[in-house]
Amino acid sequence: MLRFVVRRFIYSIPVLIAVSIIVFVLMQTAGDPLSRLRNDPRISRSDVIRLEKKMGLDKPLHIQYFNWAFKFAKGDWGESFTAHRPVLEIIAEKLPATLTLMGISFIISAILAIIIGVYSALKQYSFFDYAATTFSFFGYAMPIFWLALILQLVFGYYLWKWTGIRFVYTAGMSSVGMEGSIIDRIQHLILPIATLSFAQIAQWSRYQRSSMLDVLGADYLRTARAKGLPERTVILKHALKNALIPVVTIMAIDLAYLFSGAVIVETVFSWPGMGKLFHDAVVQFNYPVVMATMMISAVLVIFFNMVSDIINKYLDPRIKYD
Amino acid sequence: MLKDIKKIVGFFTALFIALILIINVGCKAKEEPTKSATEKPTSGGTLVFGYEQEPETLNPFILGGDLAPTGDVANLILPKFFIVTPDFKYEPSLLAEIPTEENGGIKKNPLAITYKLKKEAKWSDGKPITSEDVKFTWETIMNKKWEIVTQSGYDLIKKIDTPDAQTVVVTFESNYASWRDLWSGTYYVLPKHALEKADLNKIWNSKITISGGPFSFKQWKAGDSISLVRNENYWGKKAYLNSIVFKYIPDTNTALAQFKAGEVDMIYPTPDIDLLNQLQATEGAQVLSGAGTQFEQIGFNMKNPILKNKKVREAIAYAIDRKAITEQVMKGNVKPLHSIIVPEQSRYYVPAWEKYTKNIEKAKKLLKESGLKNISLTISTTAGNAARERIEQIIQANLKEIGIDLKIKNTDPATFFDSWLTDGTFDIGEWGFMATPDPSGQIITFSGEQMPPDGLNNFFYSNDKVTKLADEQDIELDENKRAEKIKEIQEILAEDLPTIPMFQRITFIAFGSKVKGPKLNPTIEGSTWNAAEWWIKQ
Repeated sequence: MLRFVVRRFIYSIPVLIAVSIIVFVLMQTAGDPLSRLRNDPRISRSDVIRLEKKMGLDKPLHIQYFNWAFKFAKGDWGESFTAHRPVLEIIAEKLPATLTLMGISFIISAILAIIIGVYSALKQYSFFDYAATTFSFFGYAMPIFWLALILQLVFGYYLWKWTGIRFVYTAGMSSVGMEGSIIDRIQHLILPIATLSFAQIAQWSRYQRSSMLDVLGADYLRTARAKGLPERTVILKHALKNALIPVVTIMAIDLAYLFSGAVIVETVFSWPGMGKLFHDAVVQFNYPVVMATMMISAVLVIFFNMVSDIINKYLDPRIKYD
Repeated sequence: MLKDIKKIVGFFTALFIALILIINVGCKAKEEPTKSATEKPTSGGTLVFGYEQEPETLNPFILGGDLAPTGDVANLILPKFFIVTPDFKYEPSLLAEIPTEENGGIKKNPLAITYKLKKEAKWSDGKPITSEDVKFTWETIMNKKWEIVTQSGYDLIKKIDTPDAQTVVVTFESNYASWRDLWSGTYYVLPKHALEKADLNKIWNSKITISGGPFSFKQWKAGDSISLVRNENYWGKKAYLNSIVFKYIPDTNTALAQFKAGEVDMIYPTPDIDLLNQLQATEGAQVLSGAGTQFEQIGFNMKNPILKNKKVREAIAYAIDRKAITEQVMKGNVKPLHSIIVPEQSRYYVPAWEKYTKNIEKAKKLLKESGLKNISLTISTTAGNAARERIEQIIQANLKEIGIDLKIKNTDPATFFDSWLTDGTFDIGEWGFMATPDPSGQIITFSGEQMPPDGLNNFFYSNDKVTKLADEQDIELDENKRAEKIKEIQEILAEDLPTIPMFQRITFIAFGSKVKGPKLNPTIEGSTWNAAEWWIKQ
């Protein structure tokens, strides 16, 4: 096991370096952070040249990359070009909001997906199963942007207009002046979490359903029933445990995206998270922020892939890693 | 076990809904509005302003702070020499009077302007705003240590003398016509005593520590909102509102939903005709709209062998139906624009392009005279902009009528501006201009000395007379002579046709029925320019 982890770790280093080089080169060739200034008639060429020199943007590409890489390795992630604050500080600001949103979504989606998937499999071809399947296809096909706006309009605006009672808020993390209220927080969380969970549940419940169906046909379940075990124990103790394995491994990989946020949901619901941070930084060609966020994502994806493999091996003794 | 889980979930959901009902129904009784007979401004209240883009930094002098999000906040906190009114007039704010030759404020050869500051002007900590602060601001802008956005104009200053606390004498190296924009617009007067030992790249990124305006900075909740409170020590007319909260809502649809739901009191969204109509139809909403300072125009690439031919450009000018385009895209909210100067810049405006109305016969005749047949061209603009794409389609249909085959080829904004326009790899382009109170920027673009990549003459147009006049107007201090030169430039441009102006975009603000006082200001001053006059009807 230790050898496995160490080997993975060593393999990941060239991958990370390659990712950083590719992202760096792509960003530089796509545009530069001063382009907005170049197109402003009030700002002269000499102003732009002066700023280029000051920000080190006039140096050749590879020199800029090595400057960034050496500093990054030492823990200095640089400063945002536009906010003039350390990138670490900015990320630390946005991370809690993202983790709250993505984390709660993840947990709710996981629980509901497993329940729906298992129940669908147990009562295959029942009304519940057909309903769940239709719901899943909807979830896959639905554009998140549209879903977010519809939920916002229907539950945030119309529901309030018809009943006069505010059940949920349209956007933001809290209301002005009510930052301490838990109820207020929950009211703001409901719509974005519903939007995110919709697609997530649709996807995971399908995996769970098919995995459960596979397991339900197995011989060892017949043996368990023959032994005289109650149906409940057969399903929950023997079948479910095995059916969960593939689903859990997929969920472990998706854990990596907990930190990346979801830019569309964050934009529509004015949720100040990592997704929007990354998107804005790309649009502004704010290299320090883009590079730092990409590196975090890459590290997390590699790490959680490894975790997922380990969990898989732990749950299913048939799998061997050397 | 499944049943147990269902019971527990059901219980909590019911509890949650019950709590909300109790809280909201209980509070509802207090929300009944009381009728007030008078319209006299009352002090008090908080205004929640739904704003689209969050500032990157609160320092308007450094890179990242040059955009409207920073300016709209800084405008309420920092003092400046002039404020531009909605009709493009420079009104003295920090200055006691406008410097003129008559009152000895302007001396020529060399150019030296004497500014007199208001005696009562002071910072929120009680210290007076003095000439030392003005001089310090100039030194800060020219300081190489800071990532200052622009030094334009300030780099022409030779020296600044401060004979007394209210008098500043600025001597220039050469004549500079746009001097009214100094210590105004997007720049302000900085407090020397608060900043002289500070690191300007860092100090005002997250907060502005002092105030010289009607409001003071209170708090910035990253990603959520910025709160300002009334500056009780303001030297001018005190604000009515207790506080203003800028709530950041990046998505326009969300902003509309929040405005309708009453979660925000005021919005200033990216202008869009459909949105304007929706707002005007919203119950209880007050909407102010008007022609903005951004306008659309068609630009010809004069390097193109076909477009080099003046008759071709004239033919196109008489084929395009500017009236129909304006009506279809702007739905009657504005009229066609007849110059690269907007009518609001009344001193300099002449409708030189007025004669170009759709006249297919004339257009066909001119095209014949050009000697070119079977012309095929492309028109380009920024992709994803529905209004611009509509303009292209109408022009395509117009040109078909005179036998020109026009293809549409668009790309993303970065490529369009940084590559196509700069390299001249386009035929006809459609892009926007911005009109500023001082028209220098709009005029200089057509100078032969402003060729890309150093300049913004994306038309690759060169006319020696225009170049000469553009240089002259930049240093002409006599207002009337300068206006003459600018008008002459417009006449020449309308003949040479490197560009065909289309129409001004609209700008609008919307606020709830209880809000009073906001006035639309399309200039750089922005939507918060008179926030000290806003009040909420209790």
